[in-house]
Amino acid sequence: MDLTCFLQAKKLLKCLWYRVEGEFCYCSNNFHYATVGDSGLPQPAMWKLILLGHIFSYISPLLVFQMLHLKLGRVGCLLTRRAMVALTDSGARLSTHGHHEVSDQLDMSQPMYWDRLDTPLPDRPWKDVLDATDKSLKQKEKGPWSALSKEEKIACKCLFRYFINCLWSYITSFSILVYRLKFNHTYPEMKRPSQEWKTVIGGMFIFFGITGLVVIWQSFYVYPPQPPTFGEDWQAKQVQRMLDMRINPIEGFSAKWDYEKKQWK
Amino acid sequence: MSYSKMSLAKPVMRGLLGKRLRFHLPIAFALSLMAAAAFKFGVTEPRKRAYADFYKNYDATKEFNNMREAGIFESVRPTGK
Repeated sequence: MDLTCFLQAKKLLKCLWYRVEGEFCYCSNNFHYATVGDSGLPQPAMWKLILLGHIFSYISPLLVFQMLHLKLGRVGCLLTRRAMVALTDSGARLSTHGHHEVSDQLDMSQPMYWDRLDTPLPDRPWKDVLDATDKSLKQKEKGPWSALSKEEKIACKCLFRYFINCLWSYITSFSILVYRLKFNHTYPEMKRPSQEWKTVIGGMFIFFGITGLVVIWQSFYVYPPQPPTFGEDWQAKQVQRMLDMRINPIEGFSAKWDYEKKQWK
Repeated sequence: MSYSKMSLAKPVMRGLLGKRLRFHLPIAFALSLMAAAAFKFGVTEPRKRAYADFYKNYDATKEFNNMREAGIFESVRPTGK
């Protein structure tokens, strides 16, 4: 096997490892064992999309906007898709109905980027067009990674500034910058909890209520009169006949009736 | 946060199914046997006893006459009529 292919495979596996684990360890250029993490959360069920999509967005605007603020980046929910067409102009989104042309529609014939828990490596990296800093970062990526990480650390004696320094170093550290070139979100960012459950539960209860009203109206205006077999007299005569016929005399109905004393056991 | 060279440990690659079976199969067998025993001693034995007790002192003719008097048959009317 060619040495360059091997090295590229190593880099790819390293990217996969970081992508899945969501951690950024400062490592040398040695080989790291890549595994696929757990598949994570499933996509929202179709019934939720149907339930939410058209009616509830007009009923509970507060919940919807609260949820939208947290979910503008995602394309997993029908509500955000519809709202994003109206509100945002960035990121990847699916085309809606086609007869009104949105300006930057997603070209499905090109390799796509996605943030998915179950498919870790998308067809293209996050940053396609690299500016100067990104290009220099890519050049540095080819060398050992630990060397540059050490350069960014600033020695400091004060404890508070040390923690801030650590945080800042993490955000601007080499590994995560390299990660952000290739990927948009980390796994913890993808798995972040949303407020969508409130919309779902709220929509459920609203439809339960509407259904209850419909049922009540039905019982007054739709149902035919009750048959005579529902009356008290008829029911009593029916029970007596069942006991006379000795229905289930061993373990069932007539077994509970005392035939000598003529009463229930 | 240390900047020294750190590596993650190699994850377990082999024997995953065997490990899972060694853990889950005894539990599965035990629970199944317990369920079967519970059904046998909770349902079938009482039922067999109930049938045996019912038929121990069962007089079919007497029961038939009681039912005839109650008037449920169409082939034989009560003795009065």
